[in-house]
Amino acid sequence: MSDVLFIVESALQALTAGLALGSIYGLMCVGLAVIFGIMRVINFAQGEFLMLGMYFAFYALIGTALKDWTGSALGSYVAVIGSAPLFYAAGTLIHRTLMSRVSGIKVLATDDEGQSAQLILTLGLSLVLQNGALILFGSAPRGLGSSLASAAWEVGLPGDAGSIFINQARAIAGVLAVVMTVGLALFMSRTRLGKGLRAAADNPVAATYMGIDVARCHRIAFGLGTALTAVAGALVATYYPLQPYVGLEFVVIMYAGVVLGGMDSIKGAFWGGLLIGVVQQMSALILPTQLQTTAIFVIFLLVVFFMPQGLFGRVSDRA
Amino acid sequence: MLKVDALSVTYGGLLALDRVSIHADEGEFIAIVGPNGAGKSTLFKAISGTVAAAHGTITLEGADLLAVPPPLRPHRGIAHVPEGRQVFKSLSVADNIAMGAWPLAPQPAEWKRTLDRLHALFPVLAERSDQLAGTLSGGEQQMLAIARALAGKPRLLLLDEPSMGLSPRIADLIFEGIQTVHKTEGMTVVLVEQRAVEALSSCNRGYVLESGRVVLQGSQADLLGDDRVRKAYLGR
Ligand SMILES: Nc1ncnc2c1ncn2[C@@H]1O[C@H](COP(=O)(O)OP(=O)(O)OP(=O)(O)O)[C@@H](O)[C@H]1O
Ligand SMILES: [Mg+2]
Repeated sequence: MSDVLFIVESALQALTAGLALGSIYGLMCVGLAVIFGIMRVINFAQGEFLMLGMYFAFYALIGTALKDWTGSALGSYVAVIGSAPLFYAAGTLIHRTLMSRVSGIKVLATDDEGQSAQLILTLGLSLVLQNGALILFGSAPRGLGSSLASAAWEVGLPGDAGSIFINQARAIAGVLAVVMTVGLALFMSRTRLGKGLRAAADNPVAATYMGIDVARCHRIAFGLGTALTAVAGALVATYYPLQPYVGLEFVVIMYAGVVLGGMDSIKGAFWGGLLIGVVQQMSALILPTQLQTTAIFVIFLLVVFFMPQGLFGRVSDRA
Repeated sequence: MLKVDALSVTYGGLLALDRVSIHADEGEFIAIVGPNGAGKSTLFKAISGTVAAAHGTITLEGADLLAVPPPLRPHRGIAHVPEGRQVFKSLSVADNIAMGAWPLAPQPAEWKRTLDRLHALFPVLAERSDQLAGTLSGGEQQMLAIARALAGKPRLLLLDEPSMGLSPRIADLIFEGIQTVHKTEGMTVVLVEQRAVEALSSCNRGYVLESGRVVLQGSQADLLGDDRVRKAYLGR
């Protein structure tokens, strides 16, 4: 086989791996973007929601009889689906008890729009969840032991260009992440409640004049954002080991993805996450593994430098 | 219908409304005129609940409105077209209008009738249905803000300076629209305006608000005939 074909094969291999991984990153970014886009709150505990999603999947599978009924492969997806309503409920509860005190219409009139209080609260929440997880779950890395994590589909390339291998756990997780993102996009653009959420984000005072309960919209947004990132976590758990600080590994990706996407665009956040996944995998072709994160930041800085509004941010509004 | 009684509102230490009393009967068209900073917008915000009342009462059809949480007030039949239009810039024109019907959640057939009616009132909104509201001109945004308020079939319509920043021709178009709606739908209208001539000539009764106080009130004829009003607001 010639060198050119080998390069094509490697590039396609990295691209498919990047698309699968990037879709999962995209979903976690979307979770963060829903909260920021609708509430204008930067949630520093988002990485911990991801970590808790992973632990939920682990305990739902290993701690119950689920694994015996379904096997570890199917069981992990049952756990993924189960995590959505649970974390939605947890998110709305966190909003009701904590976030609603430092966000919403009433803080918009204050000098910093409540941002310092939000920073302290979400950062504090992040530390409490991290250390709580350490106490409850211990520091030993764990895994779901899904058989799919080490299984691959082999896809032959046309001609004698060889073939590429697609990790089954990552591919399925990527597809589910895309399905969930498309579902959210349809919800936001087509349904009455989705439009109400966008109106509350666009102009909370005018939304109140329409009879839209902005506090309720924020509660729903926080619930959705929590659930989406936790589901992404449960998906990550199907192929990646978990420990209480695992959120830190992904939180940087989430912020970078959301900024790349233009801060308040949910679609943009997905593309931002996808881009990071692809760059990370493709850069592995030419860079040593230790420099993959550097490659992400080079792309990040380039985009921020040349397109300060992000890939999908609105350039300007008419007053 | 609407009764505001001895309402006071403060911002920090500043008294923006000082024991203001106004009322509007069923189907009336009330005009409120006054200089910048008189407290006109503050009065509307107190009715909608986005500022708190320090003293006084507001009742709607006999019921205590101040006890109703702000987002539930539109469900009682109040629509507020705020100063500066405040359309949802990132939503389409059609979605903006739909948000105005939030309390009603109309069925498709009924919604189509409402939409046809609003498009007949302001035809340009039909042409711009899919355009983002933020890209409309000022006049179009004002028409949208009014159409959005009407979509909820309010029984009380609060209009805060709908002619602000518009050319006389567009402002006339807006005033005509408001009068048509008042005539055909018969809801109660309270209009705040700097353009006193237009406002007073459309109204049944009016109030003059200065520095947070009602300094004058009366029928259309009373106000148009009053020397102080003529000097200060009508420029003759
Ligand atoms: N959020 C606020 N904080 C502090 N003071 C305020 C606030 N909103 C209004 N005021 C003050 O209250 C007074 C009344 O303001 P308001 O907006 O009700 O006046 P207005 O009659 O609507 O004026 P205009 O014709 O310019 O719209 C003004 O002196 C204004 O500076
Ligand atoms: Mg005003």
